[in-house]
Amino acid sequence: MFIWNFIKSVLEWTGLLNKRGKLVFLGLDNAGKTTLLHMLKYDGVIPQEPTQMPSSLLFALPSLFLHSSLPISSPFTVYEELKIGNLRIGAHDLGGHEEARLVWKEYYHGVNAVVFIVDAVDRMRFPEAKRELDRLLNDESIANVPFLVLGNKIDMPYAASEDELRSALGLRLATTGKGQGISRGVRPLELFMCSVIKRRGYGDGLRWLTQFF
Amino acid sequence: MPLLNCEPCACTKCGAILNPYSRVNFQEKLWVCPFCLECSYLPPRLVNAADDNIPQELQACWSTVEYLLPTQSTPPAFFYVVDICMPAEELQALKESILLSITQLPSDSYVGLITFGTVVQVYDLTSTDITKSHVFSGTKDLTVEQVAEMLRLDPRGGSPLLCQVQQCDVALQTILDELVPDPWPLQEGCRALRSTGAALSTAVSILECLMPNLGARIMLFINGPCTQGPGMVLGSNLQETMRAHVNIETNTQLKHFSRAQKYYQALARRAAGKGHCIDAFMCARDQIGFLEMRDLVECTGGLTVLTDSFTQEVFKLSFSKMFDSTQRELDMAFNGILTVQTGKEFKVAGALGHCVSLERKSPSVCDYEVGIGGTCAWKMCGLNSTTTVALFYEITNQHGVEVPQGSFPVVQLRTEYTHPSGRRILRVTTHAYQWADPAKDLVDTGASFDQETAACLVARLAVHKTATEELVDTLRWIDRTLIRLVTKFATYTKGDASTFALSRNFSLFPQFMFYLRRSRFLRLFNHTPDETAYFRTVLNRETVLNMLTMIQPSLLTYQFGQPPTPSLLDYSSINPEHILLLDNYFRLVVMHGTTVAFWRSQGYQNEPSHAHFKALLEAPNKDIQDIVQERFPVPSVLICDQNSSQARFVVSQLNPSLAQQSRVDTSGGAPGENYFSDDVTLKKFMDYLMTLAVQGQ
Repeated sequence: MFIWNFIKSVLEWTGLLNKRGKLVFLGLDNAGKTTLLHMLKYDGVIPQEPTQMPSSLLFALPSLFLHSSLPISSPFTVYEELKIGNLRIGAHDLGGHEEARLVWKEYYHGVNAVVFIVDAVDRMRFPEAKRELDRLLNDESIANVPFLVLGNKIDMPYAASEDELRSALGLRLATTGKGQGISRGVRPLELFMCSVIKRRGYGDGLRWLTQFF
Repeated sequence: MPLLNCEPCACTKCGAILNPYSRVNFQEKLWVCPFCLECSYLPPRLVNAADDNIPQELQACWSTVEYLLPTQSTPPAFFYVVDICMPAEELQALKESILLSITQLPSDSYVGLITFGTVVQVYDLTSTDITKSHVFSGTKDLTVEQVAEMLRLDPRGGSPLLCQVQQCDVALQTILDELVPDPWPLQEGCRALRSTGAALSTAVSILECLMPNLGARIMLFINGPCTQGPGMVLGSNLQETMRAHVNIETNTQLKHFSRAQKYYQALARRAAGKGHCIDAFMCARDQIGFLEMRDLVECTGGLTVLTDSFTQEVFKLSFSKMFDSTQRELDMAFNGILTVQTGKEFKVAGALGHCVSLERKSPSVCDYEVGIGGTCAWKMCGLNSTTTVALFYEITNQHGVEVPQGSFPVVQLRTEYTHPSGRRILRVTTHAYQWADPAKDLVDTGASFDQETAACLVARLAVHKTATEELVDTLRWIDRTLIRLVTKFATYTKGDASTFALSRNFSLFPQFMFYLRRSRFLRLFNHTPDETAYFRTVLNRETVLNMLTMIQPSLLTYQFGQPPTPSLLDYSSINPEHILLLDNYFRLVVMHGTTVAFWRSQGYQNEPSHAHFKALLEAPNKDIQDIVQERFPVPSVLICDQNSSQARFVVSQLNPSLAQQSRVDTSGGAPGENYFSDDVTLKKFMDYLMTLAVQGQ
């Protein structure tokens, strides 16, 4: 056991065991893409302006599983060091408003997975979200890429339930199950409910997603 | 300010211009230079001056005078450099804006046109029947000599590439009408081939040959990144993506970055060397490489606009405002040179703004450098009524002889520039300051502290520091500066934070620093390097008032029966029955409270009985109009409802005083129910500051 740990740490150190993934975060404006990314990178919530231009960032996934108790709120050290674990994720955060969606397609090349976020409170916009999701699912250039759909903001009263959102997005028969493993040749697609600001749910979703890398 | 149609009278020894602080003996016709104490004769034109006939340049009320210099006047040149790799509707909107601008130009000014895509085309503006153009490869970097030879450029004779508007407006209109998006085929999975670098270099070379040291501006219109040839910032393959802040921080995947940056820096220096200015109008939904191209604008004093699309008002209004001649003449000046002269009490350490060093040494220059230092003169190729340069001085007595308390050190700023009419003007500003030694007299020093200007100087220095050091170091530097300042000027009992108090002209400074630390200039998350570079570039040229709006956005509240009132930039200012107007310089956001939004959705404003509600809804319009009228670039205007997606433009700027933290589990009923933020609040920031200050470090 000791020997194995030693070999593993050497491999990690040399970068041979480092898994890398490239994700795109998509969804309508105000779904919570940037807030989620901020949470993943800095482990804290800061209200964000609507994203104007696509920005990219890197983060290590373990920060998601080990919620460190470092508060980001000391006024004199806002910028945290990034912890490098064995799964490094590069993420493209794209604006969600209608004009910004025009550039989405330029970011599909070489992505390992798509994270599509939906505001579970904003029922008026479920049809619009469904339309964008369908367009993505039918896009040839990302035909076999795993999809994680996150229903965000379940901390709010009146948020849609998982069942309701599943129907509204037309995912009833399309999802492939939250368990491990999946039959070959099928595109993994699943819906997870979450609350970014309450740090709930997205960890399960991302853990599910990264098994396909 | 008087404009004197005569030659300025300069000191024979140090070159300082006669000013209200010079001692003059009218009987002997002598004046004593306040800088070097040299005695000189008054010029013949002032022989009649006497105590009851004091010339304007000596009157104390005119600290600034202008002299019209006797030089031949040449009208300025405007060179349009147009990207054609864009959808047809974008190009159409751009063409309309360009055509409109041509009608706004003074009819004797020169114009030129270059378009670029896969190739670079330089247009001949003299042929009216058929369009003639010279085509250059977009991948070659040609020298000035090569361009001059290929285009047969002769500085003495005119050139068909640069014509006066009155002679070529028809030809120009025909060329623009026929302009179509780049016809070269696009490869599958590739971006358009855009030769921005080659096109710019050609424009700079042409002006270098035809208009050396004369007023000229190159106006660059771009819709995407340079993808080939010199100055390439991104490969054409879609698999390659634009660099992000993370790549710059970690120095990874920066394939083209430093090469492109060096290329544009060299180009900027070439243009600045000949007195030409470069503007960048960037309308794109993704990054175009402004971070690399930033020096083009900052070294030459150009103007910038960054927005989504050429069809948007932000571009259209800003661009036409550049040539707005309602005040008789264009608000622009060319080929400026700023010279600073100081007395022996303090010396100039450097400047921060849109300028380049002329590397001119003088006794006014100190060894220590802040910003662009080591010189007493800077070139500012493009400037207008809002161009603001920050100058830093060093007190020279620190290691030697002390400046006597109560003496009046003098500073003279001389700005020579070309007016849009082609005339050369020298503006002379002379100031004397009452001396108070901060080591001895804290009260006098403190009383003259201007916290608004100080905040802006810290902002410019901080932005300047980010170019060479880690962001976290810059933030720490701001913290240290603030702590040092309040430790010195606040009143408190040592060790007791509750006794801490700041006098009136220091009281807002900590708050400015709080908002500066969380501003778009220093917080990079959710902004691309291009956006950050753009914000910093605008900050670097604007006035104190405009910079303050950028650092700490202004918030106005509108409510029934009351005039608009300025409100705290705080969550507590949100009220369902109020309308808020947030101004962060780049954007104006009107936010209707939930109740107001509900009433509006019910159509109350259309009922005569609710005229006062209609008046409330329309109340911000007047203020918005006033701001849009005077600002460059024109801000984008947005109206939204509280809690909507767009309301995040407002909420993200507010001090999160009432917000809940994501870690603290509260069960409803808390004041800021819907607001979550783990960010530092102003109160917490102040508490920290007071605790540190009273420790008396």
